[in-house]
Amino acid sequence: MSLDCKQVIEKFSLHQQPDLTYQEKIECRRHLIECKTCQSEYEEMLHTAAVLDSIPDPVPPPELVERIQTQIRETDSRSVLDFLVNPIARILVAVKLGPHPTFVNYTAMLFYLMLTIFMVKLTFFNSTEPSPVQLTRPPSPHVRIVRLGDVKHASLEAVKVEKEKPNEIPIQSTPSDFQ
Amino acid sequence: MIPDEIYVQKTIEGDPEAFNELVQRHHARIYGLAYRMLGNPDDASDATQEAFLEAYKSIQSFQFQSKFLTWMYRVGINVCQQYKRRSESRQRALTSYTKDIQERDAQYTSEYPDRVLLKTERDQLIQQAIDQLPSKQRLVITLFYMQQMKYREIAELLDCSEGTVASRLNTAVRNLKSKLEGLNLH
Ligand SMILES: [Zn+2]
Repeated sequence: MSLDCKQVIEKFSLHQQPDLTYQEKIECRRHLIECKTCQSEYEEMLHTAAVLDSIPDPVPPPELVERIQTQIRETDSRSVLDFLVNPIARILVAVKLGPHPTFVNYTAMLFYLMLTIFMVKLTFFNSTEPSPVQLTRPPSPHVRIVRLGDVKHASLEAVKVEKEKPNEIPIQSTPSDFQ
Repeated sequence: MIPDEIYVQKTIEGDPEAFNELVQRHHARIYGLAYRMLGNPDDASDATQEAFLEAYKSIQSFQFQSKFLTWMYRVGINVCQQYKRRSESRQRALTSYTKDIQERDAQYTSEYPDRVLLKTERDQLIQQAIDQLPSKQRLVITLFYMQQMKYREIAELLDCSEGTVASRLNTAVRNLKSKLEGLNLH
């Protein structure tokens, strides 16, 4: 079997040599002696190796390992926080749905928006104070009499009084209240 | 020695100390690769840190079909390439300045060809010559000569044929040689 030039350079390159069989090594050496092209290419390779070997290997700064390990520890504690920050994403990851991150983000935003609306509603719109609607439509005739003061009976006249002197009656009433 | 893959398995199972062992074992090699690819120690440190963090986050995607180190190199190369792209815009502002210095150095070297370069100067010039290679050639030179990887391993890492590795390396060597010739190295 004779080797062509490309094979020789590929096979006989510096760190490949230990992988070659004895026979292959002999073949390569023989080819290198005979073929000037491969010879000069191989010499170039050796020269480059010598030049590059002569420059020292870069030494990492001693604190690098510690830096990496600290950052990984921080990532770990952050991933616990993640569960609180974005539970939907975590659940989707857990069931291996692997959705697009944008989808997860928008879903989470929607989730928090709904949660906020619910909380706001629960906090501010759940008071026992009667709303304006309740004022114009009192729950019982008793309250209506008390609020209207000296007007004992609802009548069209009373409506007129209210309209002419709105300051005396602090409650906004509509004619339909008295129907 | 316990193989890397055992520590990978332990990391996947949630043992926080297991990944530290992998960092301890391989940080110097990844740093070496990053240094040759990025050309300076600060960027190399940052890129190494980023690569290990990236590897830790995506350790679930390790398929146990290749060696951990090969996979780690791939992560490292990706991070360095991203890093390079990001810093290129920053670098553009500095380019004219460094170019001036390089031109002045080259002029000085050619004016005094017999001057014996100091070891550190010489190392710097070689590193500069490596830096000037196109990134694919620089990568293949680094992996082959500095990380002592075989064609087969480089081909697996870069997802190409051994023939491609060989021809790329050949071009890179010739290219580097022509750059080094002008530097009057002894
Ligand atoms: Zn030949």
